[in-house]
Amino acid sequence: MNKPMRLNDYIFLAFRNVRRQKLRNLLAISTIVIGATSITLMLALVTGAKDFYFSQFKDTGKLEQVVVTPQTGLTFEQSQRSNNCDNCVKLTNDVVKTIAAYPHVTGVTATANVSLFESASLEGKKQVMGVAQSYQPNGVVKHIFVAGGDFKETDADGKIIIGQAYADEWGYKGKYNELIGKQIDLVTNSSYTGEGATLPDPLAQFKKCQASSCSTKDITDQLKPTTLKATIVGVEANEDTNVFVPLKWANSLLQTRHYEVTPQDQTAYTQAYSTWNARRRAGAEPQPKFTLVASNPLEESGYTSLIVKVDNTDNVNTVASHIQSLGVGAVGAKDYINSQLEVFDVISLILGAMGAISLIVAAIGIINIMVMAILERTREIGVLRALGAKRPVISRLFTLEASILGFIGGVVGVIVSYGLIQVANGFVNAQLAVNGIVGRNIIGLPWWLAVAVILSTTVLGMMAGLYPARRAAKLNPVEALRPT
Amino acid sequence: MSEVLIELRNVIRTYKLGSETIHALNKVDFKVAAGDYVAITGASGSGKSTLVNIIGGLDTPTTGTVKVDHRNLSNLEDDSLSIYRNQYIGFVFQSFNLLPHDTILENVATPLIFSGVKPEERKQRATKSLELVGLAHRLNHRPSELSSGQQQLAAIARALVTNPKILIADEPTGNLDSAHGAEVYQILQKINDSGTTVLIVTHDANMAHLAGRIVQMSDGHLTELSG
Repeated sequence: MNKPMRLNDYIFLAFRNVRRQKLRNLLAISTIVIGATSITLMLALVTGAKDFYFSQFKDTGKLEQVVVTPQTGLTFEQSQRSNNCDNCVKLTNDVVKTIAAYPHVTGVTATANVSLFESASLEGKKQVMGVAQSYQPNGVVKHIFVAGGDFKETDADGKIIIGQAYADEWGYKGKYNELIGKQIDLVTNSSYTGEGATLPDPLAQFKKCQASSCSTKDITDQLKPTTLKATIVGVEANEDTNVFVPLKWANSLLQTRHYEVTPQDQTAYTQAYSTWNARRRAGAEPQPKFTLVASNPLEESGYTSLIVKVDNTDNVNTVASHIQSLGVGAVGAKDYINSQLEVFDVISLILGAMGAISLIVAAIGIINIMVMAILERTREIGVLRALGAKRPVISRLFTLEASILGFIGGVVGVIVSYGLIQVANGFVNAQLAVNGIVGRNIIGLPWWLAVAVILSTTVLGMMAGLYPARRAAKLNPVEALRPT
Repeated sequence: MSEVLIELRNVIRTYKLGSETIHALNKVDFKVAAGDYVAITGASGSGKSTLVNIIGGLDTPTTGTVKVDHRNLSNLEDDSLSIYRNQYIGFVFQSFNLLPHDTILENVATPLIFSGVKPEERKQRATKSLELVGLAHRLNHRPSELSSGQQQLAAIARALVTNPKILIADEPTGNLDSAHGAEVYQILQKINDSGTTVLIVTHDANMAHLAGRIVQMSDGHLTELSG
């Protein structure tokens, strides 16, 4: 009766042989550990970065958003910038209402860019300001806050959300909460005529225009920058210098105001003036009546963009196509995010390939060690063959030994990586905590990565063992047993 | 003569040594009956080891037929030859060839691994085999902790553990002093007495005379001396 060798015995013998050559096998394993660790760390880093990047979109609701712009055919990235378009369909409240009634649409907010502020000052520290963005605080636009929160729906004038970069510059790094409720001074550009701007005396302007031909509207050269007060309600987690104000305030800020004499008033004035002149200018000279005229800019020129919230990410493209039928541009972030995530996949591939090189080096190490083991154990192989071990048995034993080296190397590599990741996350978390982001383990070691690395090193070990195992199995037992 | 167990007919085994062809066995005809105790003598390089290697299934003839227990070894594939070695043959080598890292018990149990015997049974059978050669008290020692005579006894125990029909001992006393050598021969005699066919390769004429039959190898030819 001859049964095949038991699986347990294969494993037992292979492990026993691995244990025997402790130093040499430790060296072989250490090269695999280095390879496995480097590949694990690199991929964990990219995976972590990818997840972090993705979560930024997820947490701000961008995955379920469609951005509507007056211009058509924009990419998501382009839709994030302000684009001038003279002959485009205006994004008015009617458009907002139409879109809000579409299926799968759960909310719409209008946004407008406010390019009026030159600088912002807090406690004497002045910073240059870029374009402020405004939106209706109805829950569609979401921020990640390091302090404070979003506007209330009723918030209007004098409320502001600032980007972290401003807070850092003002010296509030790590203590963002202290900024909430503080007032900053926003200085407008010198052509500002919106709410709060001090317009020049219309009469003086009128007189000036009587002397030389000009319009009362033409007051730009006499305007001065206006300082407006704004209370900080939130600090947004972002390296960019973003600033947000409520849409209602934007409407007041963006309006252009000037004094005008209405035609009726002009007629009345002309008559009064003629009368006064005919009476040889007796009494006080009549003055024209000035009326302050303010524009309604957002209704007149339309919003910069609309952010449409969709019930599900899968419906983003459907809703976008639907909106496009209005003759406006509509684009979801989904495709953009996917294309961005592909960049991470490419990086993964490159880093993975670099890690793979170290694993290949480790594999060559295994081949080397196994070939040496065969030379050393030639006699032993001969004895086993004489005692009845078949060629495949010898081959499997050597392959299994090499696989075990790979397996141990992979397991240790994953454990070492896990430890290093904990340490690295400790540092990164401490850094993020200063920036107000708490509890984010950016570098992640997903279970599938650990399993994949261990499997790869085991298979690599096995493959590295194939050639030496074949050599061992092919040994002629008589020659193997011959005294040296 | 009882039933023929081993039969070689016109067996030739040649080796290439550079451009020269060496006839290790040259038209050898050889029959061994079951239960025989045969000593094979001859000078170094005369073909003794080649003969027993071919009978033991470690080597194959260039031409000719080798039958053991009516089985033609020339027709067997490597896997079948391995099974044959495991089931029919017990090898005892001049240099013992024990696995140095294993205990004596593990060494003796090794052949049973290849026939799928469970560990408990392996231990039982190896212990019994070691008791037979008087090494029951050395089960857990490593070969290096034993005298050379004891190591050879352990090797004999290993050869016997599968209950082989044929025990092949190639210069079993070559590395032993005369006292230990005598001990080994006593054991081999005992084994033969129990019915196992024993083939022993030896230089030692005194030892050869203990066997019931002596053949001599000379330049690949086999000559019957006695028996």
